[in-house]
Amino acid sequence: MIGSPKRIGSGIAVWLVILGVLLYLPGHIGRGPQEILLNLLIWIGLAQAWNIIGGVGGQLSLGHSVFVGAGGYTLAMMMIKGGLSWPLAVIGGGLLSALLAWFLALPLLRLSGVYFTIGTSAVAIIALGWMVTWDWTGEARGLNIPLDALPSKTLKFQLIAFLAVLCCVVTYLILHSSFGLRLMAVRDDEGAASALGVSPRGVKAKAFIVSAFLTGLMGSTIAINQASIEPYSMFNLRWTVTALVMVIVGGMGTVWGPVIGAFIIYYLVDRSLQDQPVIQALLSGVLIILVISVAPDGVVGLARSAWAKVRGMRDSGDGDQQEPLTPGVVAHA
Amino acid sequence: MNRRKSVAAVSTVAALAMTLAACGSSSGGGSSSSAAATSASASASASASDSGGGATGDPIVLGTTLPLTGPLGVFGPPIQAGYEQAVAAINAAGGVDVGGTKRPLKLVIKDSKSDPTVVTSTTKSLITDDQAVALLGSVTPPLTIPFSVVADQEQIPAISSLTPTLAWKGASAAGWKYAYDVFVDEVEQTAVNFQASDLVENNKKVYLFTDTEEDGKAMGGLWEQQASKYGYTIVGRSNFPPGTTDFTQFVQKAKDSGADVVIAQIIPPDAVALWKAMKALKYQPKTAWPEKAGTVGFNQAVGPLAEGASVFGWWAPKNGNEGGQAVYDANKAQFGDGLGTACVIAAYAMVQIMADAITRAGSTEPDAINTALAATKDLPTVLAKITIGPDHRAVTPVNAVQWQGDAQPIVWPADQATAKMLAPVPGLAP
Amino acid sequence: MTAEALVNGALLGGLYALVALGLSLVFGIMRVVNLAHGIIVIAGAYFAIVITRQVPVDPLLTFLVVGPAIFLIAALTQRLLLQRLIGQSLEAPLVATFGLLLVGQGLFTYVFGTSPLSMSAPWAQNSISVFGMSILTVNMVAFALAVAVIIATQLVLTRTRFGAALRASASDPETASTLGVNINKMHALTFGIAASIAALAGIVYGTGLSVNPNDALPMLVLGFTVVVMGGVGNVPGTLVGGVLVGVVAAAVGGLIGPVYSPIAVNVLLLILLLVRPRGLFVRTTPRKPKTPAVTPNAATPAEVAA
Repeated sequence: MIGSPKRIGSGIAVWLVILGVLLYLPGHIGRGPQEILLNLLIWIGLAQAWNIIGGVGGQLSLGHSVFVGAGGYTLAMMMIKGGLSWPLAVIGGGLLSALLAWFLALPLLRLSGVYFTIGTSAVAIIALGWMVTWDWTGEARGLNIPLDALPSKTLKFQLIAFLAVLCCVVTYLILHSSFGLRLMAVRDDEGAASALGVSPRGVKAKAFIVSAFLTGLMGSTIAINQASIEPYSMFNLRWTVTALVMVIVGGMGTVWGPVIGAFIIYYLVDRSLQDQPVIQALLSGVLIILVISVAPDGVVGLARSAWAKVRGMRDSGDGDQQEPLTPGVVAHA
Repeated sequence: MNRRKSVAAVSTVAALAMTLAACGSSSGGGSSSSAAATSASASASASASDSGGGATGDPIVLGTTLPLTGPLGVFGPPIQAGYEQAVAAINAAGGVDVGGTKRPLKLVIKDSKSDPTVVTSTTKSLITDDQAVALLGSVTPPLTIPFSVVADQEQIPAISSLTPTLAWKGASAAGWKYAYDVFVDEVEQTAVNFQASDLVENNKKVYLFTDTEEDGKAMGGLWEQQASKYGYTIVGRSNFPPGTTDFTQFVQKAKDSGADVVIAQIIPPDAVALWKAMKALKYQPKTAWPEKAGTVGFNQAVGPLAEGASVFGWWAPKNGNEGGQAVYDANKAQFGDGLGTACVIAAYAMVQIMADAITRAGSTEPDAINTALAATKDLPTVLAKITIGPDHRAVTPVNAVQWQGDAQPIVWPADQATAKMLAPVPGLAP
Repeated sequence: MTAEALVNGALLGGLYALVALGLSLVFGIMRVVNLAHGIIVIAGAYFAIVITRQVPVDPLLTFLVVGPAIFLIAALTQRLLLQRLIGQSLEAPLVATFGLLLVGQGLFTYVFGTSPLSMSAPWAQNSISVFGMSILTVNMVAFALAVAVIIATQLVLTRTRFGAALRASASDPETASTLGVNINKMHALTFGIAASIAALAGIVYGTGLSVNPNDALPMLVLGFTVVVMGGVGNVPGTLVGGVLVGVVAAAVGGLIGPVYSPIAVNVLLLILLLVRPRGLFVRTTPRKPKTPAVTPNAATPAEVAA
């Protein structure tokens, strides 16, 4: 729903406080926790950016690895071949991804449902196939950014914290804007929305471009963090699949869902189990199954319904609420 | 969202940050060397690494991130075994002498899932969480390069093997500062295929099957460059994306070109598909080289078709190493009579080199170790005699091995050979 | 590029179709995007490898044991896990099957390692000359099996009471269930049958090529490509999709270079998606191309019955 300016203001204030805390942290916590938090923030940013098109917009894109890779490669190319400084290159990474998304939106958003998902995954495979043979970007060798051109550890952490919070704030603003309302209307019932005068494709295209822009920004910070990049890891489908799982586990179309999902998947599953390599995949699979069985609307959805029960009132039609995407098959659930 | 929710949200973040801080400082994650369930031969001596033998000082932490899962997962266990056995042996002998105090080594191992981005994060956590003073690498340029980048960034000495040294060197324009690579040189490595093929009579025509991965391109280029020097002609080359299943028309092309030598630099599943297609199309070259795929487990992957497939090797009993045979004999039952066990030896030698540098540094300060490491000269190890050059490479000698039964005896060079080269490739007989 | 290359590519397409058929059935009848499909194919191969290591029989014969075993495991998984999630949302079964994929991958990595493994059979290491072309026997076997399985599936769906019940439960579950069709049972059977077809594909794949746990995702992507090209839920279309992938890969590989094969296949997929979003061979004109994937009665039964 569209909040009053006052409420939106207080919502943003929360994020500014969080950002303030994060910016203050380097040097005040150990290097280990800082490193963990850095990786967590990258995942929060990626998951949140995906959430804008996938959760709020309901379009399950598998093509976001293209924007991770495009962001990272644009940054590296601007720094290596263009001799530009990293702040400009980060913005360049975001802009190029947005531009790519603008081109791709035209054909891809003619598809819906699973067809959109498969179409975007085809784009991701084409992009990877192209990047490993493109001489200009170093083919499969990839690119190595000179270490002395990169920001210091503190600055890098603050950059990533800023961008991750930016992704969250953008999602928050979208959810509380008339644009977000239109986007969710299209997600929940495209026919009805267009009957009310909303252009489904236009709305989805805008969300797709914003999502790609933010993903590109995060992609360029991944390249900064890696310093050496190559196509097989930068354009890997796994970026998108992991972000998707994080968002669904946390709660689609909510601001806190991706944050909680990233924490569960990256920290509780991946990170905590890294000394049990052989059974890690097994355990993470089991955990994902458990979470989705207990809370099909994600952790945020579970918390909401619990909260509604506690307050003894029905949680009727909150704008952030996840709607089932398969209207026809609910009957035999 | 109302105000009460906002307050709850902020406190959640605060609690989360505190949890992270607490977890990071206490547990840190990562398995110590004793956690190795995979390596049976190491477990006998693993207790020594825990107690530290007769060593008295604080343990010296060596960190490594290995591909225990993912596409390169075959290399994880032998490397792990090599590191563990070397650490156990050094600790059993009293530990490492650091300025007069004997200190035990402690090994911390983390899984990299064969993923370069995971290599970066786990290598950093080895330094920040586990306080590793030196790092041990894994395998292949895609994993070793990001590992070396972290070493240079964090200024912690790091040594790797099983990574062709020219590709590794080329990844740092300014030259590596804290990272080192001890392995073969690709120019020498790509010459092996021609030199060893000379052992059998052939028409000197070569067909190349290479993939789009970094090594496929680089090695393919080197074979093309070097062929004429050794009297060979490249009659054809096909490039494939990893994951190719249909090789028939390219095998037919190779067969039609009459090439007696087939060299393939493609990933294992693709090499299996290629070998099966060659067998089915009744194409039996004089020598055939499934490089990168035929190193470990090729006999399991293609069964009897593996017979006679050759690849380059990096260890031989008589290549100037010291004590290598004992390590080889102790491991060949588990990792096979061939390159799997040679991986154990390469890893073992990295610990020896690092321990020697720490002793010469007389300190566990990373900069002191780094300076000592760079000065490593004529050090006898189980792999070979090691001298680190100004470009931080130590080039080790190459040879050629051939799958014969379940073993990979050395067939070239003649003075190191342990078996005669079988030709034409028996596994591909029509 | 030669005719020989195209014929071999087309026949190998039969194997691709066999890999994709189960995916198509599960999506067509249950509306579940089964991300675990690739790992089921691989499971079939691993089961067969375990058996052939003990008893030296032809890999295809192991299907007599592997097929029912995989059927049981899959049907139970559907009954105990997926059933509760279907219908709640499109994402819940998607995520659950992703979890199953990870479990399977972890399990197989633990038991078999990450190196590729394969089986050998006389029919997988030979070629015969047809009109002067060398055709791999393994490709012929794969194609023949695909044709047989696809015809059988089509006959069951269109000519039996069971098939009618299946189609009814796909197109209108509510009505079907009031008419006495046990939807949950139908879904368990569908999932089981789809999985055992996948296992058969795995046995052929593991004999003609090889399997490893990390192949699960590429296998799944291949399946989707074939399914979409042939038309979702369109059983005979699967064969067309598979052949198309095989021929395009071989043609582009021969004309330009195999590096461009996956790019070409996916560009074609995108074009087909945009031009004919519901597959090449759909007779009925698409209704409003609104949300074909989630409109239960749009895609499947009409074409399945056709």
